Amino acid sequence: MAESVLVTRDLTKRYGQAAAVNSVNLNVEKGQIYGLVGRNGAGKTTIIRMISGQTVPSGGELELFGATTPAEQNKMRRRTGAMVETPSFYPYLSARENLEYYRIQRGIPGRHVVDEALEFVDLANTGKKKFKHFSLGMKQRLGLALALMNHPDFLLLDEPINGLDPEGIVEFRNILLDLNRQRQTTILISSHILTELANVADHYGFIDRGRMLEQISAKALAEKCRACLELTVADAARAAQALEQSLDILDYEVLPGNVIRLYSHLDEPARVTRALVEAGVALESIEQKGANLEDYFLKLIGGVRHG
Amino acid sequence: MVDYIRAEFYKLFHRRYFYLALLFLFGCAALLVAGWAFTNSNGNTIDFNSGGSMAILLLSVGLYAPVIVGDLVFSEQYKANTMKNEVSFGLPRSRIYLGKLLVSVIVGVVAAVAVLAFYELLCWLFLLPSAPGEVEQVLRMVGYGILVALPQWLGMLAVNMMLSFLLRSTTLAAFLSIGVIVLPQTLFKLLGLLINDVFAKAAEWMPTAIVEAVQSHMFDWSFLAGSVIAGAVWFVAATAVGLAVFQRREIS
Repeated sequence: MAESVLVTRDLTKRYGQAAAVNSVNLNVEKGQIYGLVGRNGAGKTTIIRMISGQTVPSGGELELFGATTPAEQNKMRRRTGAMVETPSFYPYLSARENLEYYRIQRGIPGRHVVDEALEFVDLANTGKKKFKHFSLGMKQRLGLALALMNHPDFLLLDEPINGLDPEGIVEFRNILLDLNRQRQTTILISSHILTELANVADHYGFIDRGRMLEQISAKALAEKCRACLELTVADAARAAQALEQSLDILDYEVLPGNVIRLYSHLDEPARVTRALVEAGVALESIEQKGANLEDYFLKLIGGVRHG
Repeated sequence: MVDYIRAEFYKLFHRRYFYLALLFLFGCAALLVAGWAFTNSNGNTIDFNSGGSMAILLLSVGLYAPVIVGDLVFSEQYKANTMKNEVSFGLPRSRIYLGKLLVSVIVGVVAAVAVLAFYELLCWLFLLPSAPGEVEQVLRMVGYGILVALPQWLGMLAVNMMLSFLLRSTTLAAFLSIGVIVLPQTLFKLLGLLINDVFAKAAEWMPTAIVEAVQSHMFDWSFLAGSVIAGAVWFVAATAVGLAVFQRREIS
């Protein structure tokens, strides 16, 4: 059984009567890149802030590397690296000075750690430039350097690609994938840019209005979202036989209600229709189906909301 | 804790504000002595005895210094949103709070002693002692004054640190700190006049009253003990409240 890095049970955060996070159950296993999907204000940041100790939960349980008490969890946070919302540093210090300050504070031995972290995020040549003069992209990269400085086992990233240019996004993605593959770093990443999330995550948690709607692996999601031709026929058995015989179709499945899903011949609905007609099978409907992460999420939350 | 304190000093020494604040304090001391030296050259007779012991009257200024020291050490963490970097790494909040308090105490005490020593040195150099044993006598008086004032300074430093941790605005924290220094004595005096003499007695043990009364209680060791107790009450109470509230504070 895979080792759980993070488990939450009915994790809740209330502000007055309103629940920002409502009974969320989450399970992140070692080595996963877990994408937390949700719109702005869905509760993603609040969840990450509870995990990182910035906010005290109103209810439920949190287990970090098996630690359940606040004191133990604090110790385990030494094994994490966090980048929550916009990276924040002392404006009057340079990138190197800021990292050196945190290196000393965290008791990380060796000054080379700072240089390595700066090299890793391509900020080694910023010299004496103060943090207050950094671009948003540079700030994001410095935030990542701090999160990585202690070689964490678990990275918490909240909207990390905000403000990055397209090249920066690709670099950032590659850094995350390298960390995950080479160091087996577990990553929890939240974003509302789903196309980007789809490029890195291998597990997803869909959250809306503070509630976890579904947790699913990327593989299972791909299966659910797989492109197909969905046929509704009068007699599924005869239709299947006809398709096998006349078009050599083998990659299909029969669903209840005389529904057949074809995963081949996607570009040939006319041939499929003709084969069924020739076999004397009544065809009620034929439809191209399939979804991406965005479609799936929108379907899950019941479509786009306005206002 | 040692790493935390080392890091705070690293940050402090890499900030221009720290050197400017020191320059300002040393500059004020130099300006004061220069003023007296100037008036002496125009017929006035301020010698080391009067100039040097004037430091006792200036001890009240030290009550307001925690506003600068606290601001220097706390360094607008809420404005820069840097507190999350410490909390999310699992540093215990008590360590963050007590670490900053300890650093501000060290900085405050060292700066106060250094500025006063600098002031006395300038007085010795430019106002000149007029009688044998005068230097020792003045320094003993100033030393006693510092011993009485120190608990009050530290008490107010703890109040300022508590307010810095609890309020997002450092400006508001600074104003409230000054309010805590100034208002209780006035309030208790007023209540003493209007309601009961007990309040008037209490007013005598407020920070400003204690520091202002140093000269009239010179070498009164029971007064010094009273000052230590009063300062300790402020220090412990402010730290306990600050720590308790900060433990559950939302860090954004």
